[in-house]
Amino acid sequence: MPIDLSSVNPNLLIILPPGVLAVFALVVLVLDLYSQEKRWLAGLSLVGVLLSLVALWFASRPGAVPPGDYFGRMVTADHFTFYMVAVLLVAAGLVILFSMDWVPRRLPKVQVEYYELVLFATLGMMFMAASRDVTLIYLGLELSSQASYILAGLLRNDPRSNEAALKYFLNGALASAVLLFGLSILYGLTGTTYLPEMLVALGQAPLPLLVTAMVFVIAGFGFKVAAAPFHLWAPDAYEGAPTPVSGFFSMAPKAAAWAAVLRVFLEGLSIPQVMDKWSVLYAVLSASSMLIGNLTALWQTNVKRMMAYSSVSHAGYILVGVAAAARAPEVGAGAVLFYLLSYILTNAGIWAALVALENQGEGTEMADFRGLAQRNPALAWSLLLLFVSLIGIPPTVGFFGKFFLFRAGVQAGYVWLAVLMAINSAISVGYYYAVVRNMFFEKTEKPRLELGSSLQAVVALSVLAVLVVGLGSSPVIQYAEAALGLLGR
Amino acid sequence: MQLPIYFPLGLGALLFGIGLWGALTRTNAVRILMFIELMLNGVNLNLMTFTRYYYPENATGPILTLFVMTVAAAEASIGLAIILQIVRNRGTVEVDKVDLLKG
Repeated sequence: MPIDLSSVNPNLLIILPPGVLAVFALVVLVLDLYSQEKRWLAGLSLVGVLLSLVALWFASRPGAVPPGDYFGRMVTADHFTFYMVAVLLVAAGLVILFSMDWVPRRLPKVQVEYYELVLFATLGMMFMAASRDVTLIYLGLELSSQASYILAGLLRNDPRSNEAALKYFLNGALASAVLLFGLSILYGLTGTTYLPEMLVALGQAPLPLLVTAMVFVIAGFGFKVAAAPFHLWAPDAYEGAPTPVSGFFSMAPKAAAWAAVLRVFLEGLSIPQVMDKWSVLYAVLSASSMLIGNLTALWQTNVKRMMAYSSVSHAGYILVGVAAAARAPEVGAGAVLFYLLSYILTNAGIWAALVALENQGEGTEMADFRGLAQRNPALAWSLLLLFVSLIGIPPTVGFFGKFFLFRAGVQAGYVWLAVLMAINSAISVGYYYAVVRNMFFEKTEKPRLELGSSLQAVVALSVLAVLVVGLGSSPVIQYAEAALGLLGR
Repeated sequence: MQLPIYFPLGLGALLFGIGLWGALTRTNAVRILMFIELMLNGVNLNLMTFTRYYYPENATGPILTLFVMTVAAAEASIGLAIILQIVRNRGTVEVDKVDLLKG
């Protein structure tokens, strides 16, 4: 039955997905007071995420919300918004799903707070991705960051968790201040915080000041996405934070930060005089992130920490697309958007395995993976496939993600960067293989590793998605490339 | 007579610079937090100066300033809570002594 939405105010429709999520977050918060049994509240949070996805589906149907800006130009309706909000909601849903068994064991006193903070962080990220006004991008960034600082420190009596929270907080707050300083100069040069107007007004701005502002903005976002040399907080934060939280960090906040980067640079700072400059800066950041991330990851013995360095190197790969977007916007930004999805889908399964180990009271060291193929063959083979996807070998989604980035890099004339990406993918085999070797070629006496139904679901979804989205990548990449075409340029 | 715009802008940049320098060189977590607040004040001064001199009819600058102040307050409360927990478990606020995570 077709539902007629033409009489509904589009302002309400575009705000429906975050609205549903906010309502559920508040309802869960209140129900926490009256409920002894907390587990169903986790389910309720998950329902909130799913309903938010349904609302997004309604809002994104053709004709439901005409492309444009709503709520006083604060929220934008375009393919970019719909795509990114969907990606973020999927990430949040997977995180809630793989935390369900872990949270009652390790955070018995703050169970609902955990889901609460994940929901609020996701809400902030949705606004980050949905806006082209830097005021709202900044507010969304802060909402998601501050919820993340608390998440990192949720294991209140574990000094390592405290330390992770402290380092994440100090670096994050510093990054916000640096970013804001750049934005304040941009406001001074243009008199507006609305990116398309900023773009028009930037033409008359003095170039030195503009470049200064741009450098501050790049540094600020560089911290948030953990691109080398601004990545130093990431390994500590990932290692010390509660394991599902580290998984969350590697998936959602980064994706939102990339969305904000694309918005700010492609819609606000895309006048030719500065485009070349930020493109080159991002190319340099890209090269350093790939090299530093991959080479440091080779020496890690803790898998959480290794995944942190791996995410630094993946930030480097994504930066290839960002740098390329200056010269070939559709292809570059489309490749970035596709890669974000592929990275989230792949990472979910790997972090679910780490969570499973902790559920049985084990650690996340390389040694804990010994003999995993004996203890749970299905999980070991799934992990193998996911690592293959992270390396970028066909027919997985990671291969197609890297392929699109490579193509964007070549089209934009960054052949050296694209080649460096291929070399780095080869280096990354080294540390992923270390885990695989431990899983398949080491013996162990430990009992079978049980996953539990929610973790099984995440691993299965992750493996399926890696294959299905990989082989069926053409509609996704077409949508992602079209996302930029509608940005109103 | 109006003050030349370079004075308030210079003061804003100076506040930001002192804050950045302090945040990068100090080791006391509370002090780093205070220096970061100083950076944010520099940002606010920038925003208000631009509004006052160039865009007096414009409301976005002051609104962003208000948001920055509000967010800074929230940030400080979260930061102090985290630091308090560190002090309870480790008995120190020195960042270089909080070093369990390495590699």
